[in-house]
Amino acid sequence: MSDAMLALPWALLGPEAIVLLTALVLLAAAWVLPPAVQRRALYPAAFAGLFVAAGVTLLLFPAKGDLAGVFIVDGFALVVKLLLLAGTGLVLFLAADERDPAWRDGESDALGLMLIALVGAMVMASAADVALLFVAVETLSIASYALVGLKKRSVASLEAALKYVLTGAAATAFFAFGAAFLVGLTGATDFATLAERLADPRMAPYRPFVYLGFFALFGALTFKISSPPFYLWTPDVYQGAATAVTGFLAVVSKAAGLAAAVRLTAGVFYRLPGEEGFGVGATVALVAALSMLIGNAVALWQSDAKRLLAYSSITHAGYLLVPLAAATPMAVEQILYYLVAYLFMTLGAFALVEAVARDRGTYDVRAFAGLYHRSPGAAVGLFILMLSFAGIPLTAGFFGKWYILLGALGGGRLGLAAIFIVATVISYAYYFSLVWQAFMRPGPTERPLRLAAGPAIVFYVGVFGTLAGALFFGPLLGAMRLAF
Amino acid sequence: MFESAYGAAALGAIFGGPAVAFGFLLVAGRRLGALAGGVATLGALVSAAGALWAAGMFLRSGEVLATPVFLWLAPAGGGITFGLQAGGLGLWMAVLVGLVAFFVHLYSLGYMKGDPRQAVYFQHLSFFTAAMQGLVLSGNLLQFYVFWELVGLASFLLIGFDVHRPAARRAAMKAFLVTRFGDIGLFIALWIVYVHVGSFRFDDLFRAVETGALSPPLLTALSLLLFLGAMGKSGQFPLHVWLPDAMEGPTPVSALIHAATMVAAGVYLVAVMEPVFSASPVAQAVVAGVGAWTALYAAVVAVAQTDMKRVLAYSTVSQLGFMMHALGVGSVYAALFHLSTHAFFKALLFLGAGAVYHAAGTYDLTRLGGLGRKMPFTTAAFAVGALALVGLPPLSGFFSKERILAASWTAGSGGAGILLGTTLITALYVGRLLTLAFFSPARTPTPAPLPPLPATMAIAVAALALFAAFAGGLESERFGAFARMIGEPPPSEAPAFFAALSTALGLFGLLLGATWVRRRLAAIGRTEAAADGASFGGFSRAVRAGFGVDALIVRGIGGGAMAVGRALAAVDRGLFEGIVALVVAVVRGLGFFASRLADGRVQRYNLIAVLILLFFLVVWAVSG
Repeated sequence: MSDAMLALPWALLGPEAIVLLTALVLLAAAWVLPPAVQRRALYPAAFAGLFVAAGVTLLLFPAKGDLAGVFIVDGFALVVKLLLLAGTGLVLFLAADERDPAWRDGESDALGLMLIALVGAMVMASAADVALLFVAVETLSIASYALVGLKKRSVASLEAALKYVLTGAAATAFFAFGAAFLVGLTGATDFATLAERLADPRMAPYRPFVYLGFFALFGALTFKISSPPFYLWTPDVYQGAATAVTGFLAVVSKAAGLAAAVRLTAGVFYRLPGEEGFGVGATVALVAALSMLIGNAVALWQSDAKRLLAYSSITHAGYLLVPLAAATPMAVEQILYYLVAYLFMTLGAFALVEAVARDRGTYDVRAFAGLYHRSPGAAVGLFILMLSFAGIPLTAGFFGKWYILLGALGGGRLGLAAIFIVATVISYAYYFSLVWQAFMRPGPTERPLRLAAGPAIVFYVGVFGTLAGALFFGPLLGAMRLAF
Repeated sequence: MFESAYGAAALGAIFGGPAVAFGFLLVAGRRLGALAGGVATLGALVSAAGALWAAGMFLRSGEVLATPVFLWLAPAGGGITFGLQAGGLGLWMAVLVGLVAFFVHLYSLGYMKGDPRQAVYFQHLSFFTAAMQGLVLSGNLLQFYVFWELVGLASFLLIGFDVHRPAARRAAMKAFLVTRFGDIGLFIALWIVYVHVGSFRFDDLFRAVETGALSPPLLTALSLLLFLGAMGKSGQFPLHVWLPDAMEGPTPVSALIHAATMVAAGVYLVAVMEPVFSASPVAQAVVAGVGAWTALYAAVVAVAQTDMKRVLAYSTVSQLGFMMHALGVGSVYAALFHLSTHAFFKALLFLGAGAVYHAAGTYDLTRLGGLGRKMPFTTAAFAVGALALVGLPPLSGFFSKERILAASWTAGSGGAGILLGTTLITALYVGRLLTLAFFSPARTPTPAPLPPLPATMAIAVAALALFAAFAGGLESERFGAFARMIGEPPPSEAPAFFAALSTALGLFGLLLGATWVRRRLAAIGRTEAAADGASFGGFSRAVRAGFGVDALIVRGIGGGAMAVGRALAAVDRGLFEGIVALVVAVVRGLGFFASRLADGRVQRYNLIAVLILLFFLVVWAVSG
């Protein structure tokens, strides 16, 4: 028994192990190092850990495999992990700039928690077992709850954390509920066996329970993805949390949720024979459609920049689910490319929002007024990011959307494609309200806006990434295909 | 191995020189002030040098030069690529564009001196040069089209450079709209090619034509659409109306863009697409016919013009007609040869006109005169260009025109006759122009002594005069490079009497024009002639206005378009705006109600989540 365990390719857990180790070191730093040294040592240590983990991830590319069939390391998982690592790295730059005293007091906690959350996220990308997935989701979630509430003296932050916990608890309940049915029906927890046994013709009379299990499980994952049914926490939590944490949730958490949803849906439920009536693909399509429509429609009414971006994030969850609904062979590529584009534009946007809000004292969109006169570079960068969000050509966002649209049409989901286009058009209005504020409205001051080093890095990386993603669309896709 | 690397480097220099200059000026232009011109001229010099180097390489190896290709999008099948490549034809054009651009840049240093916006001017000029070089170095239609549009944009910016003058702005807009109309043809042709050939690359298109993959009607349609685009850019009748008005731009711009290079882009397009055109006799006949007619028509209109630049503008249209006709009868050699010589002598003529303006302050022929004695250098240079235009031996224009006449004669159409007649009329307007501007008593007193010509302007004029005079040598065996670069042998020689006949007609026309002008001036007296510009009175007004074609196009088609536009606007207001308002209301309503869901009560959030899930179940149960 122990020989068999030792014979497993534990090296596949390398990246997660390194991140976890870094997290533990960061947490221990609070006890070991004096406060003055802490600040200077924490961030480099965290970055070092991320770099090493990324390096190991790259090394794993040629040697794929799985750990007892429950932890799969394939091209998809590796690309997602790189994405998660990159996202966390950029978020760290934002976190370094966080001024809240409660945050600063517990900075090693914050970084440690973030990395633990990252471990959960990375495992989610590889998890091919219901139990492992549950543990990973909970790891990510619980660490995220704590991160949201870290600004202990901010009522908004605490409120956001509480809402997050309560919604998350409901989602966990759904997860357990759905899992119970599936595991109960088949007696197995790993996806491969589940798929095999659920596809068995003898399972036919229990089909309603299978679908119940699917709805519940997928629904639970929508909590992480920020799409209906579990989407209502997004605006409040994004608004209340520190912007660095918001960025983490918007990118890392969402990407992990999507990865898990893809693996679950594609690995188990799309294998079920014959879709009767309202099937798996249709459910995903419905979720995507609701996400796109509701997200956009409500975003039109938002006057707070962070809430606006939160609803935008809900919408993008919808866009990202479209390839999953269309289920073409290119679906995974489409999701991955769009996630890359999304990473750049979202983190860039949050960096600028935070900088502007800090300068003007409010997160209202009107704080952007006159940005062009204060900092033309930032205004132009904002313009590029908004173009990408709206999916207008010459940005990575456009190519991502175009590619997804092709997939939707190719997969026969014409109604969904139509909704996709409609939603995109609706989104122009609120994305350009920011641009309009920045270029067309006079601000109360002409004082130049200087971004601090951290946010500046994230912002400009976001802008250039958006442009580079468009310019190198072909090569980037080629590189991704190599992974598979 | 090294060959290809050097080739790529040369191509990079051709495009990159002016492109880098443009980028530099875009960012730092305003701070540079007077130095901006130097940067731009340097860029043009690099371009010309690179072109000469590349041409040398091509002549030695005979192989197409190419840079690495950047694959941008690769859907299944053909991809969208960007890269520079050129064979002999493209490289020849690059040399031509590079040289003329360099001299015009040099000239502009003197011409634009003291202008507060000269940094912007040179920025636009660099932009144009880069775009034009990119155009001739394109190996696929999409990239060609992109540069074609950019060249048009540069032309728009430069024609309307004097933003404070309404006439300049109007002229820029007119140029843009008329060429846009032609560009539609090119755009449609682009898509036809992609749909039927599966790729934008020239090589793939030519192979498809060769293997007969495209049906004859399709080839004809494609050729005609391509020609429509060429008509716009090269000012063929009736899309010529923008060229005379484009003279509102600064004179160096007229020399570079509206005489030598941009307007030549249409000729270049038809030349490059020769495999396509030669597969469609119908299209070739159209090209030949339009070319001949344009040549004649524009020459007649040029006779009555009172503005020096407008004479040259109509002359350009006419000469482009010659080139198109040559292409129509199947001789790329003759067309390109004339394109080259025309580039030199027409640019020279424009730059000379600019020198006249620099001295006398006007282009108005009714007010000029007596400059022959006052500015001998300019007069001599101008005369060289003028006589080259008429086509008198041994100047370059003679050789190139002979080739066109020979090709036309061999093809047997009536075109040769029309062209000979046009030669006579060309000589007529040239004679008139020379006499009115230089060889007649001054009608307006000019300051004496005249302000000296800046060195940069003089050098450029002198250099172009040398080219205009001696470019005929391109044909000779010693410089036999031209035929090898074009990739085509010269057309068979015309009957010997042709050369003599056209020369005689040229001389006769010159003398006729000159004498008749002098007689009129002497007979009528100074004041009336000043108003009349020595022409036919009422009839001349009609001729000057291009027989109303311009007015017809502007008022007729323009007016018609406005009427349709007004009708559509009414529909738009009533119907479509109503629909839009409805949609907006629906979306905002949906948003309002959905936003009420997120009221902050987390209990409600979870309840909604459960309800949505129940909804899924219900839908599933009902549809299952």
